[in-house]
Amino acid sequence: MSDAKAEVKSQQKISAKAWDENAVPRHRIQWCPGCGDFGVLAALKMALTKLEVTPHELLMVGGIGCSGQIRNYLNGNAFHGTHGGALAYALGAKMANPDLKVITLAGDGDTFAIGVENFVHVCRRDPEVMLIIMDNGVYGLTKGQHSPTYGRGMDITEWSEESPPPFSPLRLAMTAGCTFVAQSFSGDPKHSAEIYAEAMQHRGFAMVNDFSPCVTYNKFNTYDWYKERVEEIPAGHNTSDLNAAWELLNDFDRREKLPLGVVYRNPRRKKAAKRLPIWTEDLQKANVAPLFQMFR
Amino acid sequence: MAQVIESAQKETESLISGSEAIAVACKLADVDVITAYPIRPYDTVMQYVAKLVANGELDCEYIVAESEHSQFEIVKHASAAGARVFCGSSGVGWMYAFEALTVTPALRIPMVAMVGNRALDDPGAFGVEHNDALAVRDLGWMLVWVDNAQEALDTALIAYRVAEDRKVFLPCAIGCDGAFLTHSQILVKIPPQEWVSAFLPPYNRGDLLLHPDNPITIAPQVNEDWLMELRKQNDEAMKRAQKLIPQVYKEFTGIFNRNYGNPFFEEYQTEDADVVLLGMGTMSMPVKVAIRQMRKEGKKVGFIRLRWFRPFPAEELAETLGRFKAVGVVDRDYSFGSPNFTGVLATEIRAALYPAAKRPPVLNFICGLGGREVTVPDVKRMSEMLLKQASGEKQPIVTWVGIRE
Ligand SMILES: Cc1ncc(C[n+]2csc(CCOP(=O)(O)OP(=O)(O)O)c2C)c(N)n1
Ligand code: SF4
Ligand SMILES: [Mg+2]
Repeated sequence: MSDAKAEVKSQQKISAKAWDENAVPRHRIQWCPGCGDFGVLAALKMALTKLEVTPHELLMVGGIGCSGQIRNYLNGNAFHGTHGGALAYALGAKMANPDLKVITLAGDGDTFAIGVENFVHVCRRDPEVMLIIMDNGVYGLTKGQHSPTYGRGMDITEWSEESPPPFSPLRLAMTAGCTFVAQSFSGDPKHSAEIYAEAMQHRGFAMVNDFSPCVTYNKFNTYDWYKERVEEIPAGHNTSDLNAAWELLNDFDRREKLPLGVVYRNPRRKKAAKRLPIWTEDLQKANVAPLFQMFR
Repeated sequence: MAQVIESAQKETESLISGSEAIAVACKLADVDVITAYPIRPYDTVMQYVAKLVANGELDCEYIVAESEHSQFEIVKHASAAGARVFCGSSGVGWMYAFEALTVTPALRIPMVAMVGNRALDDPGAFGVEHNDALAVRDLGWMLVWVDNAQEALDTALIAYRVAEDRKVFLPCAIGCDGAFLTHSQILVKIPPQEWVSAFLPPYNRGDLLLHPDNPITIAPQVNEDWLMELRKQNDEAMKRAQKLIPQVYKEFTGIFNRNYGNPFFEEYQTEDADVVLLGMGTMSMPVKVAIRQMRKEGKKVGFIRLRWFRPFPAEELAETLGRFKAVGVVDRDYSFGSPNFTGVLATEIRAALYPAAKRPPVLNFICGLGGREVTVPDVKRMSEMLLKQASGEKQPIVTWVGIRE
């Protein structure tokens, strides 16, 4: 191995470890054993390591739910706001400081119930923010009530106002103008990590709907249930063709399968953003020597 | 007074929590539409309601909405169309519904809601605090706090009876302390359906019913032309509620054979008391225990537990408080920047006392915020300060009890 390569390798090792530092010892992981969110955590670490993101560059905005807890289990800047508001915070943070890598980590309840208007309009606005939805079909943290994605794959012929059918997060995203639409499965973290890495590099809003089974409250959409149905999107799929994306979803539906991978990716042409020129310039002017002195 | 109705069905006893008692009240009141959005501790009521529906014991429309805002809007309009409704939330969930909450009284919707009292969250607290429910105190909601599961069940039935009286038609929120009441069980007497049916007639919206045969507009644009008159109508309705409440409790006692005494506030060992503590909700348990212990040492401390916060029994309470040498208001809430930087209840008590002939000094204790326990030693500390004040040794107006310095 050349010296240069060894150097890169050792840096990567440090970087992988960096994601655990501070995080785990301070925050004992509170998820149930077997929770799908563990797979998302593992995949996220892999993706961040692969892209060599450092903790100080990252802002994780957590939704309210079991899923949003993930921000405590990774080293990095984190923000915990109100239920349904995560994407609005992410949008604000990214606009104020475009240098931040902003990722939003939220549940299906947070994103598609109370926060659905933020989801739809962030799709329209297209900020450079990644969203991972840990889709388990239930409000896990509040003990398993049905969320808007509950009922996926169930053989129910009659619905009611009280128990409506689930909707498709991917279709909602595409309808709302999302420019990167993908799906992953926490039972396959290596594949998820690849999707997350692609999403993080997208020049716009990137949503990844991750099937993340709630082993405690969703006894229908289990790991095994998903394993029988998930299927990687064929290599020849033209991700930049919106019609092809719709057709792909219809085809998977017809075959009662669930697509994994990038369904649609089409960066928008955008005006150069006018951003608040804060941070960097202000920091350059600031005299931080006395501050450092204080902590010596 | 009406007699206890002879019934083939018997009163039963069951070990249930405050939340379960509220769900049982919904069943007994034969509520038509219930909506929910999960949040602790209100979600426990949801679970019991769901169980009753699933078991076929409660026949109602039960919608788990997509947010508290939709939740309260759905029942509001179901009520306008003639359905008896139940709703509720906790902490930030209640606040998320705020727009719907503000317009409910003006539309004269007799909704009954349960607020599983919870701190207003950030940065992460789920324990009891009363600021959530108190936020609607100026908006035309009736507000009542209960102390145990039996009182929760009874008060829910009473709330329907008062709210749905055509002279009132205002919403009523029942404050139930998170965890201490929502999650703790006691043996509760569950009345037979016949008694409840005799006490609570069907909901009749009369001329305000939204129905094709009764074409009306709800919430038309009134602007400055009529808004003041509408506010005044609400004000009159609240005043009528104050008169009606004792009457309803009297009927309740006649049918259910349970007597709450003064419906507005409970007095505990006050006959010969020199000083009294005054508070709302489940703090009454440690307060009463401490009082019993202090009485053995000859310290004459009493307790007043306020039930109805809106309508507020100002005159009656002021007259009662005039009997004591000092009053200690225990607030499980806080009002930042308020007169003298006190809790909400303390300000209300002082306002009630102002026109009174006898005005004892009022001390304010901020205690048990965010679910922290109000302990027996806390109560003793507060009582000692009151006794000192009563004997002429001046004490600070506000004390945060049990706080780390
Ligand atoms: C305004 C408001 N309403 C309700 C809640 C209670 N609450 C906390 S988490 C949650 C739902 C979580 O479901 P989801 O977003 O799917 O996350 P999961 O726990 O399943 O990962 C709810 C309703 C809240 N915190 N704030
Ligand atoms: S309740 Fe469900 S979503 Fe929450 S930690 Fe447990 S398994 Fe995961
Ligand atoms: Mg969920």
